[in-house]
Amino acid sequence: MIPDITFEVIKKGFGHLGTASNDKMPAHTDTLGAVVNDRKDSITFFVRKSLSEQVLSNLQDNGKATVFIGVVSHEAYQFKGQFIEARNLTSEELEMSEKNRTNFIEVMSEMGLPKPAIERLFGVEPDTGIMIKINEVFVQTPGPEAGKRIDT
Amino acid sequence: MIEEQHLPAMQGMFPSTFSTCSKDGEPNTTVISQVWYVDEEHVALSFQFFSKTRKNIAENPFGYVTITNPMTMDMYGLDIEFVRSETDGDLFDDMDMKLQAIASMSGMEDVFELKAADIYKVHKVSELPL
Repeated sequence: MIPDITFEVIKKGFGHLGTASNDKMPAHTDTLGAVVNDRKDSITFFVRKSLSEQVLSNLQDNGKATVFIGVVSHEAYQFKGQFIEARNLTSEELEMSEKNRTNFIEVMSEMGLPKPAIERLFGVEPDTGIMIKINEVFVQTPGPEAGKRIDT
Repeated sequence: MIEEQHLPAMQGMFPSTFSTCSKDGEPNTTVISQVWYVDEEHVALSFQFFSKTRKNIAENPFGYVTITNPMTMDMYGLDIEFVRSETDGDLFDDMDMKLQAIASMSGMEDVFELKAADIYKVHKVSELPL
């Protein structure tokens, strides 16, 4: 079970999905939203395929995945698990991503970054869902608890 | 290797993402405050508290880090390899000062601490196709 304490960060956070090739060369891609499944044991991360080719190739090869997700407050978690599938996103998921991306754009604009530039990344909708079965969850919020495993 | 166009992405204004891999092939991904330019073939990363990353790098020196120009959002992926750690000197002092400034701005003064400046050789720089 994915801990409830992580749900808000999964829903509102900005993530990075990491993988490694069979010869142990790492690669990652940014996620543009995510959704926990009904059984609360898997997460589907929304990505842009054009920015995720090496990641998708690594996942097909060995299935090992790790995802760092954090929010502006610095609260963050690391999810480790096994690749299940890559698929097209549903209209509901695209709507969720749009809300998420709109929020990112607002937050970053408030930080003084130029909106047209931010929209180059967050203004483009994702086209692929990467589903990961979560096996382990770790605290990544900076501080003494960083690295601590959370019971799943 | 590292050219002038990449330097705005190394000013610490936009967090960078760093991925490593254990000897058993388990990936780990984290966020770091800044990738520092050292010279055309080397960058430095701050070693603060990401212990899994350090463990992985000790087992397998290869990493992948993405940097972002905050004014254009141009993103670059760097294939890097750990070379050495520095715990004093000009680079360490510069990184420590900048880290404390970032910590102060984000209310994390008691949490952020520079343990070392880790030097990496850059093998490849790729622009991500936004």
